[in-house]
Order: sequence, then structure tokens, then C-alpha cells
Amino acid sequence: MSATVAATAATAPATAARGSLLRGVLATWRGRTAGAVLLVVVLACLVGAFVTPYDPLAQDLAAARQTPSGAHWLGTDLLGRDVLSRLLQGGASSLVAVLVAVLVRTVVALPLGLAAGHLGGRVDQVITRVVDLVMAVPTIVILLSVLTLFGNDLLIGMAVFGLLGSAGLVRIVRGAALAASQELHVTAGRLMGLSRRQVAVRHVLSRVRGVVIVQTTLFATIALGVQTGLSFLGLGAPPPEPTWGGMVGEAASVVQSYPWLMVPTGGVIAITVLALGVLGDVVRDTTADRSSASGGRSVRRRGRVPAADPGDPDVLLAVRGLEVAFATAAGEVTVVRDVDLDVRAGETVGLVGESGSGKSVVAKAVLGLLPRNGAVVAGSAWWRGTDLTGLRGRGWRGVRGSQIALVAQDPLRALDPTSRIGAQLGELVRVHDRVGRRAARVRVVELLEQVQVIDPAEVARRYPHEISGGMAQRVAIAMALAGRPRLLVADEPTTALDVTVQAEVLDLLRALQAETGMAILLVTHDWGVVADACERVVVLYAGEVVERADAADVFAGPGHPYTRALLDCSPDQPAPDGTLRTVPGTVPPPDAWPTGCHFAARCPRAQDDCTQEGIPMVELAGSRVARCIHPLVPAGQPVGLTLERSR
Amino acid sequence: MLRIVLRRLLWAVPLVLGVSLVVFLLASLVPGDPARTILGESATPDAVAALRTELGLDRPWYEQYLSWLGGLAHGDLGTSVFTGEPVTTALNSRLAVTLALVLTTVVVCSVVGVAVGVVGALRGGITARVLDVVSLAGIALPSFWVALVLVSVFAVKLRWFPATGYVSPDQSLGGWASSLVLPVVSLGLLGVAVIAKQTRDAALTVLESDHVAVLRANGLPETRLVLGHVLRNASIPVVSAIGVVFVGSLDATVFVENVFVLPGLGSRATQATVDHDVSVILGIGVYFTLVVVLVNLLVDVAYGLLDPKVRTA
Amino acid sequence: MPRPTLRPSRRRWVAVAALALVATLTACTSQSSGGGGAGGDASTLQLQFPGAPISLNPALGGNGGSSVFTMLAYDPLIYLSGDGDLVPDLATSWDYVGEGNTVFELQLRDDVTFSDGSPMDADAVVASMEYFLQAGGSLAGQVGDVQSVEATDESTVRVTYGRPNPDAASTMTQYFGLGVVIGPAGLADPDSLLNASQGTGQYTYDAGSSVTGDRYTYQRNDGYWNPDAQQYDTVVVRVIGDPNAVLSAAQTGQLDVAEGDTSTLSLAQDAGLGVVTAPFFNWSLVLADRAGTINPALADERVRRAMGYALDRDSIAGALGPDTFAPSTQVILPDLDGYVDDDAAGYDFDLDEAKQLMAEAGYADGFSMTLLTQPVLDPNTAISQAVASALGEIGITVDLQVESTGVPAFIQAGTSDRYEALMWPSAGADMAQVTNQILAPGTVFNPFDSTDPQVQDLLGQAFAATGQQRTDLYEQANERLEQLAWVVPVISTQNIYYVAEDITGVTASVQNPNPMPVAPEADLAWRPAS
Repeated sequence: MSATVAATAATAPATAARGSLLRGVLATWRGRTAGAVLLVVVLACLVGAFVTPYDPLAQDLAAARQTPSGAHWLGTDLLGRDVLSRLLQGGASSLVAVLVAVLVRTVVALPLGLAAGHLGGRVDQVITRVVDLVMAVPTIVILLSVLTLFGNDLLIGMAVFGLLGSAGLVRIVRGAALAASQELHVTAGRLMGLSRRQVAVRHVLSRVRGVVIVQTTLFATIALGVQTGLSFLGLGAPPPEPTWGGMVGEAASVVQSYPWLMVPTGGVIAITVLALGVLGDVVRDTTADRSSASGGRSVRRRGRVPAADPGDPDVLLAVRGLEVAFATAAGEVTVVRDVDLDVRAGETVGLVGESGSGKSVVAKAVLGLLPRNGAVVAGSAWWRGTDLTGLRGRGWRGVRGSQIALVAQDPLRALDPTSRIGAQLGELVRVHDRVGRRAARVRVVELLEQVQVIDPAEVARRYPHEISGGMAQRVAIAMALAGRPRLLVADEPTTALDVTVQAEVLDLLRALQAETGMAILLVTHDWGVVADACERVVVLYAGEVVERADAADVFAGPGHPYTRALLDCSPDQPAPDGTLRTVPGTVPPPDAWPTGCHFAARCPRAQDDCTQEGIPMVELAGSRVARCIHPLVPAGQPVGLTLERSR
Repeated sequence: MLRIVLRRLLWAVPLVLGVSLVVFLLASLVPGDPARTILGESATPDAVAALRTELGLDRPWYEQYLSWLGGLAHGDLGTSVFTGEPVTTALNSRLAVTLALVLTTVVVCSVVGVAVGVVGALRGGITARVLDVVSLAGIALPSFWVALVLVSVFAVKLRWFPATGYVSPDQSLGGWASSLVLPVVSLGLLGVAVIAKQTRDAALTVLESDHVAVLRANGLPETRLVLGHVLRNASIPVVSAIGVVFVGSLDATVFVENVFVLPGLGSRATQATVDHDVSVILGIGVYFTLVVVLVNLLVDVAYGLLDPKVRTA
Repeated sequence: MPRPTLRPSRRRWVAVAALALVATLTACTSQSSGGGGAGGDASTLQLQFPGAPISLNPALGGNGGSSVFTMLAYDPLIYLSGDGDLVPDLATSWDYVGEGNTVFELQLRDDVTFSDGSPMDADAVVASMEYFLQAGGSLAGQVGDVQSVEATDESTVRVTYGRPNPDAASTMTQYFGLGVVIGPAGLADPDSLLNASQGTGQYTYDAGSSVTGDRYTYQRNDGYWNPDAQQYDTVVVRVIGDPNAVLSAAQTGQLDVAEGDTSTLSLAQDAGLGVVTAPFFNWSLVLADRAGTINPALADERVRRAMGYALDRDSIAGALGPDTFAPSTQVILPDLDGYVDDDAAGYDFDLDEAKQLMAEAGYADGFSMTLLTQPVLDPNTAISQAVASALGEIGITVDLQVESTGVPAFIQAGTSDRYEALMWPSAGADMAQVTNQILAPGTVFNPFDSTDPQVQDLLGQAFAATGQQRTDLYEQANERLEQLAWVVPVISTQNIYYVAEDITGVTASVQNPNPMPVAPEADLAWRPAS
């Protein structure tokens, strides 16, 4: 299981188009407020540099140390100068100084970080070394010397500060670029229509953008703070030219006798810093792979009415009318809707679709593992009389692990890297079996043997990074087996593995199923896996179930044109010229679903009526049920169960 | 692990060389002449020149730098031209004060920051918002500003803590603690904010990671999940944040020590800068650099302890 | 007075830069009676100074208030009290020998030993003085043209000057290293003085309990010659520069006597601290380019005088803080020898006069002038900015150049012949000291080495004269200086001291604005109030 599906779903609207970051930020009230405050401050200072109520340097000694009045909105300073005028003019130079620091830092760090992360090798080594070196430099000592040397020229001081600060940013950008590049190795093969290089640059940049903005706002606040502190020490810009830092320093020197001066001077800095900070947070929320951060947006269920429990005793899991939505900066986005599927005891059901189809979201929704910004907004998942979508916290006890368990996609990421395999497994055993450490250790070895690990005792002592991917997936399966579940949700259990290992893991799953009689919900995009393991198939496209059928019927001839297209691009079904066929076009993102059939734009059989209104599930020949009004096999009766819910 | 430690320690050599060279160059380019400073406005140019010769200030900068390096090899950082004191003697007692201040700050920040961050990660919603505001306040308020306010309230009005000065712990442990309270609070506000934020982000990342999802899906109860897996994994980025806070606090002592009149390296640094007391500035540069190297070393060791991948690599 | 800058250095500079801070009116040989003091109880006196001492070696130390670091452990030959009286200390009497103020003799006390037990006698004093003169300290240039120092007998020291020195007694006080007597052990190894004192003073320096640049601790010297005058067991001098920190510390009982500041004065009074003040700095607009090399306008005496009349000193002082700033219209402060007590003297605010002078000089439309200043002694350059603003009233556009890297850089720039005008304070207790500062060539007061025969002549006569005759000559010199308008006085500032309730005896005066905690007599010393 990877976060990619949810992430793609959640961030797709944000990254879909250029400039949408700004739109995403402005979509939140915090972003709007912070942006407005910053804009006002910046504009006021820009305009204020030319138009001030008073001459910022004009003294009126008779009016010194005045608190606010009609004539002087923010009072006057020690020499009777208008504080507001000075703040406005000082703002320009202070903001320019901050801008210098930020620019120097970004201009230096961005290319270096990208180069280090993306190119790797020697380049990476050299850059990382230099960064390590600069990170250990005592910034303040250098800064003090520089300021003394350049006659307290804050612009130069801030440029040096930016230079020294760039080391930190290089590290962050490098990390992000590295992660993005690695991710590409996994996903590049699945992306369609763009060259790898294009994808790489675009992907890395869009991924780094958020981090850079967040880091930059933070750095800007620190630069402003350092500027202020240096002025407090008398190392700031020389008077009489007003600067914010200098004015706070001046206010600090009379803090006890004329405390008012601290308020406007400190206030404007605090407001600017707060606005920058909030903006940084919002940007992070908007770009982050999760919404959790500080935004804390969430989605609520629409009404409390669950879908009816079909009440079929043979059916373990009955999903009915399931709809899942994610809260994003741009608003609530539905990523999966109107999903019906059944899993019967002992059978294996394949949940098939391209990435972005919503298949992993369904699997997660069933286990209550949606990220914080996602929720089931309608429908139910019935587990033997219990609606899983209604469970919270302790309600999951006795369900997770012991009734339904999970095997995730990337086995290496599915194990806690900081604890030994035996410890992780043993912990689950102790929870499920309520036994002591010693007994648990025995059971751990048993479980590892059950998943055909050769030297269980030795493997139990190892850390996840010390074993191979195939071994890790066996361990992950053992963890799922620890509670003796009746249903195993396997989310792309073989995708991240070598081809030879894939077969072994599938064999193992089949063997375990035969041994324990558990059911398996197998999430996959690989028809080979479906053919090997599944009795029944549910095909998802753009958040909707497009076809349900017995595996044999699907392979014999699917009802939905999308299923057909998907089957055709399977590596097992190469085109006559030997190349891999692809489905032309791309899956529409959740916020761009068309009216009517989601596949219409890519469908060779599409007609005008396909895009008129919602398409019902239609019963077709054999076991097939498809969401198509021009199916590949003869149509039967509409399926009443889902028809009335279609929009 | 040992290799990492050794490599880090070796780093100190080019670092000290680099930092001292930069500081030396900067300092020797600075206008203003220590000899003139010592002798005052009325001194004759001859007297100034004589003192310059005596102090070796008339030699080219690289000669001065090389002889300084020669001394460094023997642990001799030269003498302050102002106090005539050997730099090491002058700085050693001050190092203790600065370290006491910074270490206490870092410990307090870590404990409070991690606690606040974890609560924020688990709670979300309003708690998270409140935390954000507090964090931002910590970042927005300059440390010296906070210090001034703290002094006027807790020292002058309430008389709970001394307004200025440092009490050595072997003189009075209670007095020592009491003399550190206000400086630590003003220095630590930013640190708490940074660590809390980092902890929360790290904890959230871990909470949404695959292995936590798998453990949760396979039946591990929430408390065990948090205590046994989330905290441990989250602590890796938090440790590096603590390292950053340490270094940041070290820099901020320059501001805070001046307000509280603490005889540490920070207040000495500002004084030496104004005096153009090159050997003292260099000495402080060396001390700061070594402390930073040591902190990075500790962070690396902590990584090793927390992350088995690093340990076995 | 706001001051966010690095205070330690500021006051250190006060000490170093201001030349002759303290002096007496005349070289009188008043013999005060030794008073029976209250006797010290077992206690600690906590003092504050804004900067670290330049050196604990009295020959290399600073003057003014920074003398406290050496004064506690070393006795001067003559003690200058807070009221400005010269009081016998190691010398019981002194006077000039013959006419012309060039030979000066002191009689020494015969019952005094240094802290290491060796006797204080004429030979020891001569050795100490000779060491001081060649040690290279900043004060050596300020004690007159000393030709020779000799012991004429066991308890008599004779100092001979090359030129008349009207202030010989002043230069033998605690503020000038010449009269501060270092013991033979210290002279043998001057570096040892940094860790242990070698004097005859009431206290000895306790290096073990001191932290350089932070606190300096002194312990009672049980061998002191007048135990009655010793008031405390321990004296601690803490280095605190920031005025807010000083106030907090004084308010919370961490300090018994501390240097105050305009910015905290009213709060200190509200907090019940005693306040002692004395005028100190005479802030001046130095019109340095008197020949018009850089700025031709300044060559015209009328232009310079116009600036003198253009300054509304009352308003400036009022804005900066009427409690601590006072208008200053003459190069010397009121109540000092040479000050002209006459309405006709001094620059009064007269904008019409100023404008007329400008017009006469052909500058009715004004001109521009660069003014060099620094924020260390002039915090936030408030005084300089006020002056610049006022000069705008008579059409002079002032370009304020702030040398913010510190006083050394300021002095370097100010003496580089690149600036036609500067802001800088003088500080002196009589005309000899003041003119010594403002006329000395090559300094910030006179970077272009201007000379005026008339002033030189008047001062030369005055230095060799005594009594009313000298006063008359000083006043004439003062008036001549006003006419020249080389140095335009602006405002004077006060030294301020905060004194805890339970301390008494702290006094300061224009003659001695930097009083010392210890004195050879108990009733002149700072002491517990009870």
C-alpha cells in the first residue's frame, strides 16, 4: 500500500495546473488573511517610501515621546518624529534587506540542492560536504565581523546571512529532489504521454516548490528577527534612516520609561512575521502529501444513514454505495463513489484499476485507514452485521487483525525500520493471543515458518533493511496472519517485487488461503495476478466501479470497453508488433470528472448519450455487470440496487 | 559507528581552519586599530605606531595568521590586546556559562517541545491551531524583547528571579538555577516552537506512514502504536531539530547574555567585535565551531542509536 | 537618553577619550582633619561600571569612572573628593616651589606599607611615577610635560615640568596614573598586576572571585594605614552596560551604587533609589575645516558663528531629557574656572542673528555640509540629529555621516582630514583641561591643526599664573574661542548615579563627576547609612 493514490487524489487538484498553488492558498481563510496582511504591509511600505504623512526625518522636539493622537496615529519617537511615517519608510529598507537574504539563499541553494539530489554521485558528494562545512560555521561570529567590516551595512550582512543560511536549504531541496527522483523509478513506467526527463524535471520542481516556499517564509522571519537583534546590539543600519530593527532597538533602550514605542515597532514586525508564518503553513498544507499538518481540514459524512446490509450469510464483506471524499485546499473532492462489492468467505476478489482509479482508497476505507483529510461520506462496508464505516477508536478492536488484516504494497515501507522483525511480529502476537514474551517468541517462529521463511529465528533478529524485498513481503504477510484473520486485504502485494518473487508471493498467498480458508481482497493493476489468483473481478475507473464479473468471464470477453482496453495493455497481451499497448489519454482527476460515463473521452465506442447523464450498472451476459450503455456483450436488465443512487 | 565519530571529529580541522581564516580576514580588513583604541584619542601617531609594532599588528595579515595557527597547534589562542589575558583563560570560564545556559535551554526545549508536539499531532483541530499560534509567537518575538519583558515582570515586579548576573553552581546550586530561569525562558521560546513543530510534523508523517498503517490495520492498539513506534520513528528528525536549536541558541546567546549580563561567550563576542579584539573574536569563533562540531557529532550518534540503518551502515 | 548600543565600550571610551575629566580649581593644599568613621561592618558593597577595565595595572588603566578598578587597591598621592576637594592621601601636603608653576613638591606619609609589606617611601613613589611615564598608558600624555621626578629626601618627592603646569595637584589624584602608587613588587613584574594588586589601598584584588569583563572582586586589606576609613569587607564591581539592566539590578538590590541613565532616571526615582548627578560632557559641534579646504563656507567666521546662534539648545535639551541635558553656550561648563558669568558671553538662540550672519557671508541660501558622528557616545545619534535638523533652519543642509563601527573608527575618520565637521564631547574641569582637548592638533577637535596666536598667548600666560589673574586670562581665552567658533557648544550631559537607600556619602560635582567609593577619611567614603 502506498500513499500515492490518496496523495494523488488529494493533491491532484492542487497540482493540476500552473498557478493553482496560489489558488489553493487563497482558498483558505488563513491564506487569504495572511496574504492580505502581507500585501498591505508591502504596499504600504512601497508607497510609504514616497508618500508619508510626515517627513520621516523631520524632528519636532516639542512633540517628542507622544502616544497616539489624531496628528500622530502611532505617536512620536524620542526626537518627535512621526512613528507611522518612519515605520512606513523603514519598512521598505527592512523588507529589501530580508528580500536580499531570501534571494541570495534561494538563488544559491535551489540549483545546488536540485543538482545534488537529482544528479547524485560525485556532484552530490561534493555539495553535501560543502554544505556540512557551512552548516557548522558560527553564523553569528561571521555576521558580527562582516557588519563591523562593512560599517554595519545590513544589506551586505543580510546577503552573508542568506549565503550561510543556504546550506540548510540545499539539504532540504536535495532531500526532496532525491525522494522525488526515487519515486520516479517506481512510477515512471506507469506514467503515460510524457518523456521521463520531462516528468522528472516537472515532478521534482513541483515537489520541491512547496518545501522551498515554506522554508523561505520561515527563513524570512528569522532574517527579520536577526536584523532586529543586531540593531538592538547597535550593529544595525545607522540612523537617522529608519529601519524596523533600528526602531525596535531604539524602543528597547527606553522600554521602561516610554514603553509605548515597543508596541508599534515590535507590532509591525510581529504582524509581518505572523503573516509570513501563517502563509508558510498554508502553503505547506496545500502542497503537502497530507492534509494533516496544521490545516486540519476534514470531511464529514453526509447524514448518518448507512446503506442497507444485504444480510447474505455467505458474504463476509459487503460494500454498498461507498463514497469517499478528501478535503483539499480547493475544497472537498470526491475520489470514489457508488462502489458496491462483495467478498465471500474463502474467495479471492480482484480489485483492478489504473493508478488514480481509487482502488486503494476503497481498500483503505474498508479498514478505516483513510488519511485525516479523507472520510467515507456515504455508503457502508458491512462486516457480518457491523458497519465498518461507523467504527471509531476502540471499536476496531476485535476487527482489525483478527477479522480483517492488511498486506501493503511496498513491503520495505510496511515494516517499522527502527525495530527488529521479531519484535514487531511479537507485539502483534501478544495483542491477539494475549500471551507473554516467551510464548510470543514461539508463535513468531511459527508464523515465519508458515510464510515459508527459511531461517525464522535468524530473520526475527534482523531489522527490515537487512532483508530482501521478497522476504519482507513474507514477513508482512506473517504480520497479517498473526491475528488469524478471515479476510486479508492485499493492496498491490506484488507490485514492488521482482517478477520471480512476485510468483512466489502469489503462490504463498494461495497456499495460505487453502490452509486457513480466509478470503482475500486483492488490489492490483496486473491482469496476470488476477488470472493467477482471483475468482471474481471488480474493475474501477476514475472512482467508479465499471465492471463486476467472474474472472473467467472477464478474460473470455469483458462487457465494458475500459476493461477491454485495460486487458489489451497488459504485458501478457502485447500488440502484434510486440510493443506494449496503452490506453490513449489519461484518467481524469477527481475534480474533473465528466458528466455521464467517466471513460467516454477515451472510449472508442462512445456516443452522444454517454455524456448526457449518469450511467447505471447494467447486467450483461454471464456474470458480468457493467456501467455501460453500449457494452461489448449484450445488455440485460439494469441493476436496481445501484441505479437509484446514480447521479 | 566509530567511523562516523572519527570522521566528524576530523571535520573539525578544516572547519576551524576555514572559520578562523574568514574571521581573520574580515577582522584584519576592519577599519579601526586596536593600538589606537588602547591608547585613545590623544595619543601621538608615534606612540600608536610603537604599540602596533609591539602587538605585531604591523606585520602582513598572513604572517599574523600563520603565527596564530602556530599557537593554535599548541592550544594557545593568543592574548587579548585589551585585557592582556590569555584568550583560553578568558574564554574557558565563559564557555562554562554559555554551555550551562545553552544546554539547559536545549533540555527544557526538548522536553517541552516534544510533549507539546506529540499532543498536537494526536489531537489536531483546535489544539493544533493553538500550538501554531504559540509557535509563531515564539518565532515572532525577538529573544531580547522577551528578555526585557521577563525582567521587568519576574525580576523587578515580582522579585522571583535575579535581574542580572550568573551564579556559579559550586557557589550555590539554587542560586545557579534561579539565575538561569529567565535567560533560559527567553532563549528557549523559539526552540520550543521549532521542536514542537518538528515533532508534530514528524509524528504526523509517521502516523500516516505505511508501517504504522499496517500495524494499526493488523490490530496494534493506538497507545502501543504511539509509544512504541510513532515516537521512536519521529525522534529521528526531532533529534536533528534539537541540534539546530542548540546551534541557534548558541548564536542567540549573543543577544540574551547582553540583556542578562551573563559572563558568557556571547556577551564577550559583541564586546570583542566592538573592540576589534581579533584574538578574542578568533578564539570565540574556534570555541563556537568546536561546540557545533561536537553537537553534530552527538546528533550523528543519536541517529545511530535511533536508526538501525545508520548504525549498521 | 536612549542607547541601544554597546554600552561597555561607550563608557570605556568615556574613560579613554575624554581627556582631563577631573581636576581641582586651584592647587590648594587644604589640610582636612581625619574624621573618625563609622567603621565598616562585615558586608559587601556592590558597584557597577558600564565597561571592563582597560587594565588593572594603574599605569595602563583608564581615567574617569574606570579608575574605580584601580582606586580600590591603590592609593593616590592626593585624593579628589566627590565635592571636588583635594584631600591628603599618601601625600600630607604639596605645593609649587617658586614661581611659574614648573616645580612641584609633595610630602609623604611615613607610616604606610604596600600590601606585600614593603614600605611606601619617596623612592618607591619616584619609581612608580617613572614607570608610569614610560609604561605607554593612555594617561601619560595628560599629566603635563614632566621633565624629572626625584626624591629629595625619604619623604619628599619633587616633580619638575618643562612647561608651566597649573594643575599639578589634579594630576596626582586617583584619576591619573602618575599619582597612583604601585609597589616595587608590581613594578618588577608589571604583568603580575593583572592578577594581583600591589598597592597600599583599602582593598586587594581577588582574582579568584573575579571574572574578567563581568565582575571584579576586592577584599579588605587588613594592613591599610587608616582602618577607620574602611567601610566594607568586600567590594564587587560588576560590568553592566545596558541601562535597563543596570536599573533592574539596582531596583532589585543587586547593586548598591550604579551609573544611571537618562532613559531610566524617572523610573529609578519612582523605585525609591537615590539619585546623584553632576555635569560631565560638553557636547560640541566641531567645525574642523576652518581654512575651508573641503567646505569653503566654513572658512568664514560669520558662517561658523551663525551655526552657534542657530541652535535652539533649550528645545534640544528639553526633548532629550531636561533632567540630564542642559543647554551649553560656552566651551566650558558653568561653575568652572574660566566660565564667563555674563549675559554677553555664550551663544544664545537667535535665528535672526544667525540668518543675518549667513547673508553677510554670502550664504543667504545656505550650503551643504557633511557632519561626522557616531552612535556610541551619542546613542541613536539623537544629539547629532537634533543639531542637523536645527541647522536646516538657516539653510544648511546637513549630510549626517554615522560611523557606527565604533569610536576607534570614528576617530580614524575624524582625523583623516576628510570631514569638515564632527560631533564630539569635551570634558574638563577647568580651562587648561578643556583647551588641552579642543586645541590639540591632530585630534578630532582639531584635525586640520588650526592655531590662533591670540588664544595661545592668553593660555600661555594663564598656565604660569595663579588666582584671579589666571581666572581673568582663562575667561579672555574663552571669549576668544567663542569668537573663533571653531568648536560650537550645544548641550551638556550629566553623569547620573543611582544609590541604594542604605548607602550614604555618595556625592558628585562638576569638579568631580566620577566620584570614588573609597576615601582616606571615613566621612568622605561611601558607607552604610545607619
